[in-house]
Amino acid sequence: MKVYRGSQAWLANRSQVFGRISPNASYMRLALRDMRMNKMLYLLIIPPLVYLFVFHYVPMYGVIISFQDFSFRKGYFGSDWVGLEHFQWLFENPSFRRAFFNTFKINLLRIVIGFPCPIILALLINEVRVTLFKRTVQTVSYLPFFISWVVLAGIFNDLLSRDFGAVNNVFAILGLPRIDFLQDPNVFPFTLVVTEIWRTVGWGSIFYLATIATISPTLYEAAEVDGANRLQKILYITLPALRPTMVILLLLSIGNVLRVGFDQVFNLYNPLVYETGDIIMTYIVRSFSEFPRFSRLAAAGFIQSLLGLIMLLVANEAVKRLQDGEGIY
Amino acid sequence: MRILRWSPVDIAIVVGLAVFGLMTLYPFWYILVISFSTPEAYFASDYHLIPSSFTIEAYQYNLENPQLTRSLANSIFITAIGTTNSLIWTTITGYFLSKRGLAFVSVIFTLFLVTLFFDGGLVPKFILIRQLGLRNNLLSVILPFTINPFFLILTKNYFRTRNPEIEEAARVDGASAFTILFRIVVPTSKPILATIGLFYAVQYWNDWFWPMIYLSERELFPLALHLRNIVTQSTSFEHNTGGIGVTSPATIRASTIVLTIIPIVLAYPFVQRYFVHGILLGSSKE
Repeated sequence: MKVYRGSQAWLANRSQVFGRISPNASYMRLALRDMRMNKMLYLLIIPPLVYLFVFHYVPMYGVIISFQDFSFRKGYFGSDWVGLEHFQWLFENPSFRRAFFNTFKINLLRIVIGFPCPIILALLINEVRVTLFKRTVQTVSYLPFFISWVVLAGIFNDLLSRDFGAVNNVFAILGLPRIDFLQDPNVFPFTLVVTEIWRTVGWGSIFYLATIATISPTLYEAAEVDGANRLQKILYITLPALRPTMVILLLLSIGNVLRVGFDQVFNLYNPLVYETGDIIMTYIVRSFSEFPRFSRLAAAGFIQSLLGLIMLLVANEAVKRLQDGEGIY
Repeated sequence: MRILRWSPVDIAIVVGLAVFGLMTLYPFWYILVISFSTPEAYFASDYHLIPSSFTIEAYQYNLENPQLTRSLANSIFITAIGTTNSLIWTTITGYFLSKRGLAFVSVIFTLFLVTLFFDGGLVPKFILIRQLGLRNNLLSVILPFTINPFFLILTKNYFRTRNPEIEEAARVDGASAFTILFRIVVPTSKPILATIGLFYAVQYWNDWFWPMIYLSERELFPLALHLRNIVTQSTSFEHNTGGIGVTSPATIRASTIVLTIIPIVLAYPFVQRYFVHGILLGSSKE
């Protein structure tokens, strides 16, 4: 006896069960049957649905205020309609435009420089034959991923300071000029990229190491018999096996360009580097705490969500094309 | 057994990875050393590689500071309640969604998936919390984060890799869905529950952003937000203002940072071994 008898199985022989009734009606009856047989499951799913509706779908509906002149007194339904006024204001505003383009610039820089790093790390770790050392490096390398940017900013503010920071002290010994990592607008984007790599490279390598673990050892053995050296084994066996993982992770990070980086930037930046460091989310949050104009900021958030959605859908579609119809989600 | 022969390449790789590992650990070591330094020693050393002084003054100051102990208690409360609440509901929802073919499963899954793609944004969420009367209530930084769609997908996929026969046997013996879930499924799904449990706990413990938006009363601040206020207030000024004679802001900041990291560093090694297993099975698609 099959326990959770699903509608799909039932749809197959529904004519035998229910006779000739309209397809819609039969779906309702099948659903009711599922619910009767699994009452407890359907009762348990009610609170998550209420949660989903209240905390996710109500705010989604709330983006409507980007087209209104919202006031708490009048609410979502009574506030005056202003059309695209806020969007027009935003795109004519130099600060918002700057934040808009910085978001793309910083994240593309992050992808170009940061993408190969976890792959290289995974390949190196994979070459180590002493298990204890291997495990230790892995454990250490994942750790920074779990530390918040508030903490890391507290550390890096000290470590990267121009006159007293340990990094600049090393530079001075090597005869290099001292660099103002956190206050020079030309350097700041690179500071963001390098510190982010430091934080996430180990975690990123997990996915590649997991894929490497699935490669059949016979491939390597056969290559050895044919006289392949280490580099050749990496080039002709490991890297091709990693290709699908690389493609997915690359597209995913492109799809996420508009969504990441806020925690880091907001904790590391200062007015001196707004020019190159301010991104859409930091612009919104800063304006929110300085002078909250709800509708205008909701419009800025809507632009970010909408573009983020489009980029993610495009990335997902690209993955689908490359992998015979299997998207990321 | 094959004898390991070390080529120069092997040695270069091991040395390279060792340097990488030390570079990863150095910032943490640096802040740990500073947190136990006297203010004079803080200004005297360039790298803080080796402690040149030892004092627990900064910790004493912090642990006697009512604002810090208050935030610590808030953080523990938020993390404990938040993680428990999240684990319960993510498990239940993930279990429901793992029942392929049952009516409404795919519809409900799509409803959760949509939240990954589109988000209402900061302002509508703030308005919601305000209208629910949850401002300056710790529930405002717990309830909205009950189910994280990413972790939900991992859980659902993990449950789908389970062998359904044990469940069927229990069901034949008359066990309810509730009993099956908490007596059979949960005890045998440790890797995924440990993994998402740690993720949730870290997420609640580290959160400073939503507390900053939803809470305005200082007594309600969690540790991460308290730390953020300290860090942003005193960035790079202590070198000019000195602070000779009293424990300098830098050492106090360092000890606050250490107190914020400690719980994560302590919990992490125990859960770490489940990561690969939990994530791999969770992210497999059939």
